[in-house]
Amino acid sequence: MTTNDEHNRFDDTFRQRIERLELPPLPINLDRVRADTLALQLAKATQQIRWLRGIAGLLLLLIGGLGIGYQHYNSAIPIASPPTKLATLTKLDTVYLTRYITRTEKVIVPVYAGAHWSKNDSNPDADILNTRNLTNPNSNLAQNLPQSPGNNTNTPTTDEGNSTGTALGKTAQRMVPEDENSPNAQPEASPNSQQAAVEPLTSRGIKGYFTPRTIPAIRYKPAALAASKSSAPPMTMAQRLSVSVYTGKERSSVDIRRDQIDAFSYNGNERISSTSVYGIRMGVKLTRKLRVSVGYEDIDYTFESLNSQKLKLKPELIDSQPTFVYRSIFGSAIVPSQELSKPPLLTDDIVLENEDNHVAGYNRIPVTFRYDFWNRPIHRKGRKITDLTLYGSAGGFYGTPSHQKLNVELYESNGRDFYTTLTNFRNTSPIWGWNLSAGVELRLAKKIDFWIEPSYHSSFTSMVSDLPLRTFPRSIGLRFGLQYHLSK
Amino acid sequence: MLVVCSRYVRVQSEAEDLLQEGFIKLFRNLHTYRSEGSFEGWIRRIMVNICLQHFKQTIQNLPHITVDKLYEDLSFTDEPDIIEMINAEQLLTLIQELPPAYKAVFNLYVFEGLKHREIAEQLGIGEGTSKSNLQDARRLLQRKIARLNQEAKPIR
Repeated sequence: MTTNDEHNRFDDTFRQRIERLELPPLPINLDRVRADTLALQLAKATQQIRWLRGIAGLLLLLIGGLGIGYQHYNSAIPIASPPTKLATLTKLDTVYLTRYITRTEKVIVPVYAGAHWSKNDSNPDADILNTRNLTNPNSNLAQNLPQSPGNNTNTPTTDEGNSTGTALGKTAQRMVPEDENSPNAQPEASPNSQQAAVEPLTSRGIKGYFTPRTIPAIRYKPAALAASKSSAPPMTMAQRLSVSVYTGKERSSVDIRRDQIDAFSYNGNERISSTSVYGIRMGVKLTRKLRVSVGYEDIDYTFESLNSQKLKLKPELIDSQPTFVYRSIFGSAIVPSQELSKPPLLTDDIVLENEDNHVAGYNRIPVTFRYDFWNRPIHRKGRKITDLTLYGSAGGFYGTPSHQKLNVELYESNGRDFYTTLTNFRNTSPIWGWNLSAGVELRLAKKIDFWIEPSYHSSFTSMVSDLPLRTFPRSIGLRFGLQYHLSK
Repeated sequence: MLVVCSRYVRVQSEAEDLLQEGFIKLFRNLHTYRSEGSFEGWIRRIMVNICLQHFKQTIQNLPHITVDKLYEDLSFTDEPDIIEMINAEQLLTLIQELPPAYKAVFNLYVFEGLKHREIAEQLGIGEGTSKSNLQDARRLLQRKIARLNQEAKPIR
């Protein structure tokens, strides 16, 4: 028997006899755990599918809305049947216009009041003017009033009784020769209404006499005219579309929630020194004031340097390999072993020093609804120079990690030190969030607008996963950009 | 699984702690199981990893013991079949009493079926070191078994 056989026999004996000590778990228990595992994985997959369904639903709504809008406004060519309906509306307008003329009848009443003065051959205005001692330049006119109504030869002044009210009432019916052909004129000019029209003449003094001469300026707009006002022409698809390019700076912070005690062993500065955003977005006008936009943004969070803080790292087993891992609140980065002077052993250690800012990049897809609540043309010397629009917008965003970069200096136990860049961060996760903004838009040229908007972004999912902590970024910032309308 | 953990530590209570830690890790990472291979094998692998982590944490605090010193108090024996006469609990105790480095290599080679190259990667040691540690572990076990046998023999 060779030495190898002896060794194998020795090992097998140990293995067999000790494995006999092991009590295998009851199959039912193992099956239960396995079933729980599958249920957990199924629940997680279902949750992901639910999100995907939501996104797909939103996209379908957006595409469907665009399609309906496109079809509706491109097929808005007049066809045979609608003009018939329009003709009917025209007839209705005529009826309402007749009512409008009936209203103007009241204006004519004060003219008759002058005739009343001529009949009595006395001027009540003169007394009133004398007693009140007014210096109104219209007083001459007031004194001449009897001459003016006296010229009215059509006024039947002698047939009426002493009652002024009765005379006015009867005469008013004769004072509307133009309206006599109107079927609505007679019923409208009832004695009661005439009396009501005359009352101001006897109770308001001189002002009451002059007021009727200014009454023709009365502003009355019949409802039928307002209703018949033509609506704005429909927008074409090209008029609805716009593209914006923009940039901005944000003041960001991260909210770290450490769920377990292990979380305190994760390093990294939690202060974000700056955040820069570059983006492009496409907007579609749903109505004249409401617009939905979808965009793409590249956002870089720059975390402050740890001021040359040194961290001692111990190797960990990653994929059965001893590996140095830098654990930060933004994910775990593996120190590239090939740059070390020798493969790391479990007993080794290295010191890591932060040399620069930590940059974490994200790509964001925002979906935003914008409402224009104020829009006015700006004039200068009577000429329109631009349009100014104030708007508010709200929406959500989906962000996915694109890159991370951290420059460090590493000190090996044998005295060697070198610089490297950690880029392969793990445990990062896509984020979902919401945003609010308000802005001002100014027209620069026919199709180009400049806009500036303060905005607030906050995520409600963590930017790291499978770690004992959760990291939520939020930011407030100012963005500005140019918007190009495909047609205006 | 308790026996798996017991092979890597000296004291039973330590093995129970590792078992508990292993199951906590198992339940926290249930969603990462990808149904590749048997479920039991996956659980066993987690337990072994927990034990190796424990080994790495404790090995730095242990005093350095040279092999020569270990051999001093053991007399050589060439009785090959003595092992058959010892029960399984005693064999487990013998493994537990091995120095940590030997114990880890012996367990990984004999019970987990790893090659020397894989053991070297796992423990961060050289392949040659793994081989020599295994040889030393076997020799130590043989001698301990022999001593047990001598103690068990009636005095004539």
